[in-house]
Amino acid sequence: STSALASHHTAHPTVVVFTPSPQHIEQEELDVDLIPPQDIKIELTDRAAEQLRLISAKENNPNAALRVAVESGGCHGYQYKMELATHRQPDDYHFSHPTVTPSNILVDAVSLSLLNGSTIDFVTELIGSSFRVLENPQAKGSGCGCGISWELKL
Amino acid sequence: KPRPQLKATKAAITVTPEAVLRLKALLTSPTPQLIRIGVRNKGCAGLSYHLDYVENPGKFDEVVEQDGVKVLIDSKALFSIIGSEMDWKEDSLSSKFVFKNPNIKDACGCGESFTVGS
Repeated sequence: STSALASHHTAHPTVVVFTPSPQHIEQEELDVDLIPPQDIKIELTDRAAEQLRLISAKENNPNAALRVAVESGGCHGYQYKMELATHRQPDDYHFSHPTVTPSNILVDAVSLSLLNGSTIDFVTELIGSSFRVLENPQAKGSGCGCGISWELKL
Repeated sequence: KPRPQLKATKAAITVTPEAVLRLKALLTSPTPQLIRIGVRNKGCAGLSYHLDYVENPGKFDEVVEQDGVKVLIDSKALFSIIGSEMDWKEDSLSSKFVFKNPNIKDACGCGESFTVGS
């Protein structure tokens, strides 16, 4: 039914499973101001969580995770990079969907400062399917049509 | 003496075996439908590929038939994608049709947006 389809696109705030310690950030001399824990927010759509659960099953690894990072580059200055990861690094935040599990998302502390407040979705189109970062409050306008490259709001 | 009437025609695009399989899967449905490849003005380099389902081919659409699958090419897109190879790529995180396009002059880093030579 259509209502079931609509609810599939619903996003939920993720559970923060792990936060890097301020000591580690200081020790590694990472140039990042840690976001206060109560302000950390990454949302995950139900269909993205389902896809992560599928990937975990296919990889036969409950720790399989989607690593989302922000890099310099692309036509708009910043671009998203997504890859499959299996290990959390000491400077990573670990997020998970509240009910659909395993659905692991890893974001390093520097990238989170540019991603906080975003929604991660899994989009299926005729041309293909992929994870996307949506509604990034740090991004200005719509960015590149591809949805990968974007410009920082100043 | 009449000359032979056979005219050489070359398929507008070629389709890899992986893409043939994917297209076959997409075209298996109780209601007959076709897939049309087009381009849209989108992205930093100007153009990006677009696929949609249509019931009937457009008047000037190019029909490509290969290995038992039929795809349409939007007449407006033909100029920018003629000679391309359509492939289907899957990895652990994503899956998509990719086009190896000999007309490309410039492409966006994301691999989805491109410009054709003038």
